[in-house]
Amino acid sequence: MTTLEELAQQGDPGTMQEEGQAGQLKLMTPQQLYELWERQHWQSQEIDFTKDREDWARFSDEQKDTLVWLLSSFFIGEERVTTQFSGLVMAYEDEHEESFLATQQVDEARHMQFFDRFYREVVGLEQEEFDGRLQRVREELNEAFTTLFDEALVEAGRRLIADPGDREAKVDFVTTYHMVIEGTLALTGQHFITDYLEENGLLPGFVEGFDNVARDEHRHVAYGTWWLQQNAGADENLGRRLQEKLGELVPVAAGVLVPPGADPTDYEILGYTSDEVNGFAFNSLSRRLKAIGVPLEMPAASEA
Amino acid sequence: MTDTAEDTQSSPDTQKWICETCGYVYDPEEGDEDGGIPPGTPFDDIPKDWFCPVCGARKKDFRALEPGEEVPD
Repeated sequence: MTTLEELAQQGDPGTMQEEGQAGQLKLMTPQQLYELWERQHWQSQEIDFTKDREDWARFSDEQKDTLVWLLSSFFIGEERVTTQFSGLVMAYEDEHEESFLATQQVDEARHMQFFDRFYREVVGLEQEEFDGRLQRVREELNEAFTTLFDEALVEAGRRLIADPGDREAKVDFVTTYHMVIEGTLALTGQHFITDYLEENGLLPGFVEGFDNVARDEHRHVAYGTWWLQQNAGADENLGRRLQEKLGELVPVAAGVLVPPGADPTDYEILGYTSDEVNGFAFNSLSRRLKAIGVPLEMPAASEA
Repeated sequence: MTDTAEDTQSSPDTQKWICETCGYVYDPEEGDEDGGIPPGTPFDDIPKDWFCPVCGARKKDFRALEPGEEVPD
């Protein structure tokens, strides 16, 4: 069985050979992404969970445990970034980027509200206060999640707040959030969870909202890819910084995907194998780096 | 340099498609080999679980390029 970290250490020959050419790929600008945001509004409070409540009542305890665990990292992750994103908003370089980054912060709050509604109205968490539900869901998370969201992300945001003009800090934040958290972890989870629920005709309200969350995140990842292409793809030192940050965080991210008590090298989520999950995550990351124009270079396991 | 979609829309086999979220253009002539799509594959023949290599958008989030629309070269 192959882990995400092992896949990343192999590198991607396609990425290496074509990085210069791929770095020329023309991407949407922050102004275009802002205008897209205006056209793609949705309301987290309007999703109909009627059929979802019926489905949930029929689920086995094992199905419920799996979904509560899987979705907990999304719920808490959205809560974390709603506030921790402020440093990047402060680091805007022109008014187009300022406008887009402000929309992303609003998106994160909307996603947190959507997951809170799902846990309250479908899962049926008993805690009356928002904070109490967050505390309950936090019990599901593992140490790798804490390292990524409570340490790496918080530290990157703190450095940007201290000095919004710090380019290396901005590379660290965009790599941590847009490339690793959203571009690798969230999109991978969304792909398999949505596929499972759609194939089985389950939780249609949740799928509708989750699809909207994913569409928002595609816009965010498009911004991160654009910014890194313009900066890390055009400056050798910043490119190296991006590679170093990935080398630090990819092994941590791989740990977030491992179910509680499972063998990290051989597990299953909703019937999908760890090879399928890690392969999708690695493929997503390596293809995106090709668009940025910076190859994936991971330290050997003994050096990490 | 840019060209337009006009000369690529004579048949579904050569129709280019654009990701509405990030602007990535799928060109059947090039395919997406890293995504398992060989050159010469029309968009309609791509599996539904294929996703945009830039932003991760799903196949349903692409639209056909309009006649005369600029295509990033």
